[in-house]
Amino acid sequence: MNKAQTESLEYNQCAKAVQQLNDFLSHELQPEEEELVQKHLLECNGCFEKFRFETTLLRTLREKVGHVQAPDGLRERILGLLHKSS
Amino acid sequence: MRKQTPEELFQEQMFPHLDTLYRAAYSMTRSSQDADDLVQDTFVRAFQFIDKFHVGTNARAWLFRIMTNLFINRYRRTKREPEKTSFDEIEDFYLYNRLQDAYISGTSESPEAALMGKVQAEAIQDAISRLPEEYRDTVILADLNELSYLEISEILEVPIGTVRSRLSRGRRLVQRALWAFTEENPR
Repeated sequence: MNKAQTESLEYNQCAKAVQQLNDFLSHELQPEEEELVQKHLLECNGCFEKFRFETTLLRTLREKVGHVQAPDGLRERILGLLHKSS
Repeated sequence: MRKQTPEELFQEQMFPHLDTLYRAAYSMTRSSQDADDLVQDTFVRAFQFIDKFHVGTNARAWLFRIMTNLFINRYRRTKREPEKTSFDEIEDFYLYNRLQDAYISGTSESPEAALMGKVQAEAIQDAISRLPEEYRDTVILADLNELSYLEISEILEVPIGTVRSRLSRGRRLVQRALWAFTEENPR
């Protein structure tokens, strides 16, 4: 295979992986699809870096905002309301 | 077996989702008072219509659907102008590429280090709250609450393909807003 062919093959694989980025991040790929993406990430440093960044970004969103909890007393207030309305 | 009373059904199946609902309500309203009200109203509404809930089906999705509808009816801001940006103009890896450029030009740490240092809760809440409604709800449910495409499609009553495309666009918009926020508020 000549160089141009190899490059175009690599490009296709990157493009395909990028197309699946969102489903990958949401764990919505079929196991065999996910395996192909993982395999590509092992072979392609550029995609590996970018995918790792996206995964970290998503984890950061969850960690920084995901700690929000219902305030104390909300549950009791709701229970009070339910008793009134039942 | 004795049939559960509505109160027991509530305690067992609805209340465990209180924190998750509150978190989403807070991201939608960005106010602890409004989030409080929205969650209370959601539970009261759910209790009134408890006979419509099919035991054994997904209580979380059912509660979220009630809450999303309440939110849309009550808190929807005055009709927004349609979003003018063509979303396709936002490239893949928007934030990574900006941070990588800053890294190469020597003005910032590596993208991942910059992400940890710069992207704070305030920036995230700001970015999410600025999303057009349909993208915001999808991003909140998928990315903050980790709901599946199927669950989101049940909650928002749209096809899975729509969930997928809204999430893809919503995530790009979040990245663009995060970048803008960190540019405007350097730490």
